[in-house]
Amino acid sequence: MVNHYKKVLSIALVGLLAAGMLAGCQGGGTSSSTAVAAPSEAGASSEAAAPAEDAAVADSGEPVSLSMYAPGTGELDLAAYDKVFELYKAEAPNVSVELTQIPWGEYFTKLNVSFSGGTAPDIYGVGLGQIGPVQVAGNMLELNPHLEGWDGWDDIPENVLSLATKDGKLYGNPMLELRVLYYRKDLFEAAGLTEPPKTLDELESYAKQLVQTDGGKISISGLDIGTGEQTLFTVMLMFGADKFWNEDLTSAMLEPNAIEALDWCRNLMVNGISDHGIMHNIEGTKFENGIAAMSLDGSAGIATMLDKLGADKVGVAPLPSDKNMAGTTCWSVYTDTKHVDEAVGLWKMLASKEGQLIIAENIGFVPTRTSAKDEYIALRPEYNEVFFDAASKATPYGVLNQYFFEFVNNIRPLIDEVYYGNKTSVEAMEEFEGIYNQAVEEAKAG
Amino acid sequence: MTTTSAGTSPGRRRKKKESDAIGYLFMLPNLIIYGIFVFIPTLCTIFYSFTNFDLFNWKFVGLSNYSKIFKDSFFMKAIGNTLLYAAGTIFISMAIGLLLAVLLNAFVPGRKLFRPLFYLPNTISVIAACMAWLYIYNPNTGILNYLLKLFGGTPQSWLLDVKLSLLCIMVMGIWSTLGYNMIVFTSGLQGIPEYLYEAARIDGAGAWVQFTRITMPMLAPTTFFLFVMAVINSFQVFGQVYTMTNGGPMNATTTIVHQIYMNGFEGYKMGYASSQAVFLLVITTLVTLLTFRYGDRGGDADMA
Repeated sequence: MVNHYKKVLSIALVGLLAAGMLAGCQGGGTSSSTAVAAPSEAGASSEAAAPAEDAAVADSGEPVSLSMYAPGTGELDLAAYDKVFELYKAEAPNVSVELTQIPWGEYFTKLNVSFSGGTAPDIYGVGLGQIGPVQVAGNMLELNPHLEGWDGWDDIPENVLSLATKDGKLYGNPMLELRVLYYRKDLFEAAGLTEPPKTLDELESYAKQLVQTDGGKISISGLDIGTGEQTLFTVMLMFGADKFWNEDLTSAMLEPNAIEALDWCRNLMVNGISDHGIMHNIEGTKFENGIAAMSLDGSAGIATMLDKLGADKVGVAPLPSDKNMAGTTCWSVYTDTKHVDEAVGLWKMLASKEGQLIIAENIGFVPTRTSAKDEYIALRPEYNEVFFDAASKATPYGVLNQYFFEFVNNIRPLIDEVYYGNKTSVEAMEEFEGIYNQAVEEAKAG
Repeated sequence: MTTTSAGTSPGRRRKKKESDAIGYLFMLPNLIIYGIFVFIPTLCTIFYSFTNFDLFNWKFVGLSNYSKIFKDSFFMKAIGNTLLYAAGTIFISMAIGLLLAVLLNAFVPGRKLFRPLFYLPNTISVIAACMAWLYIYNPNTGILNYLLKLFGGTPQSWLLDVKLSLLCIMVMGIWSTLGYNMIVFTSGLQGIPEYLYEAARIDGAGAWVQFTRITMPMLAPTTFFLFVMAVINSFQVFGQVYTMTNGGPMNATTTIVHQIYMNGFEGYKMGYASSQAVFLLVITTLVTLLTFRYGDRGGDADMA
């Protein structure tokens, strides 16, 4: 009897251990923090119409501590933010900032837990895909009332601000990463190609010329398509398809131009010009690892490319497209921050010309301010001019979409199905539309 | 006739109560930790599985999460992959672990070096091990394709090949667990009395007979323990999947825990992810129960 009891107990404990792992799924990870020491003599300056109590705090010069979450890793990132905080300290000496840097892999889990747990940071960054869900959940402060007379309205192009705008209300300041054509100068030279492709046909033709094989396998892809939705969207823009979803958030993937773009990518794969890839490959991109002659990668990767391959091998060129896929880390202020005035002040500093140039130099984002153009290009003339020009073409996947996860989670395997030749583009996208549209419908119905 | 039961005398009863209290006191720290970090979260998980909790709001949705599980093609694929992974890793890893244990339990020169070497993979972090295996499997620069080409074989895409990717993950799973199996089997082997083998040898039993008639039966409790642990661990495989393939290509390597992670921590569908976790709890418990019911625990023999 006792043995039976022990057996049942031990099985129950084993079972509980298995179920308890949901709580353990979240990676531990470490986050680093840095803070600006804050003298407390003077008050914070602000143009915003802040609540009376915040204004009182600012005027009284009482110490205010802001918390900030930044996605990513790296000493350079920390150094850049520290410099921006120093600039802000000159304006608001009573404000200190505690920065928590969190790797992308666990960033949104921690951010969302902080929202639901009442420990949200005053200011934080989010990726393009997450702006929609975070805004709909009510965690982004509408900035318009706090930005009267703000110089950014005239200095930052409308297409950039629209990335974080919904129903005419601004919710963030996007730091831009644009897609450009990276190409290997040495491989171009060896193939007798004198300049980068300017049209879609040239891009395809060059890719065919540049691909290299070894033992029947691709050793150097002509053009890296990889996998996932980001490169596909970049190609879709070249075909004139400029949205993943419609205004009502239903899929737009069966539009003829979108199918044409998917077919184009598929042909590169099945014809042995481009090789398959893994999402979020921790080894880095094919281009930076020297196994792709051309790629459609983001501008923020330039430092890594140059570091791994050298400036004599890395060239960049604009894409043959009127629009460019905007990747972004968008700075937003938490709706219920107790220090609206100070948080908006720091937000403005991050969005200022000086702040953007510091971030551009250290982290690689493209400044969104028109006035920063010359100084930004001077930092790395050969590359930054291409990046800056792409900023004027920056476009999002569509309107802000709170069902972004449903979109990417369902489309990624189906893109693979097409690239592996298991399904035609139309078959895959019809299947995708069925799943995704139903999920959106169900979510809307509550 | 008056009988005095030693176990029921007031003095003994008091002593037993005191001894029980001390026992519970010793267990208390562990029970508190277990309660806070396992038991309560498990109860919460079960509760949330009946809601549409998304980290911000929740409402009861009854059994709809559970009915959705069986219509979710990704999750069905994940169940299949997890079962394949379990079937493909548990037996091979245990068999190789036993073989290594037997070999290294005998007098083999350098066994003190080999034992830690074989156990080493078990001590390496999953991410570091994944990095090493990514280099091995790399279709362009990996050592595996290099060796294949060297011996006239055809290079493979490994993790990028739909048919090979899960197999690659399984090979890594076997590599990382066989050292642990080897060590536990070794301790089991060292608990087998030498006189049993001496008697068998006197009776003329050869090495194979000794292995099948003495070693295997005497290792039954160890094997049982390792099997139960391996089942639980293989049903929870996640780290290498997330790091090496993120479930791709075409969900060929997605597993139950990977789907729980994706829904819970990428899609913030905590209610739905909780129902998947409870499903995993039920499956794991069932398999463990079946193992206890039909497995050979080796009677009263001591476990290693």
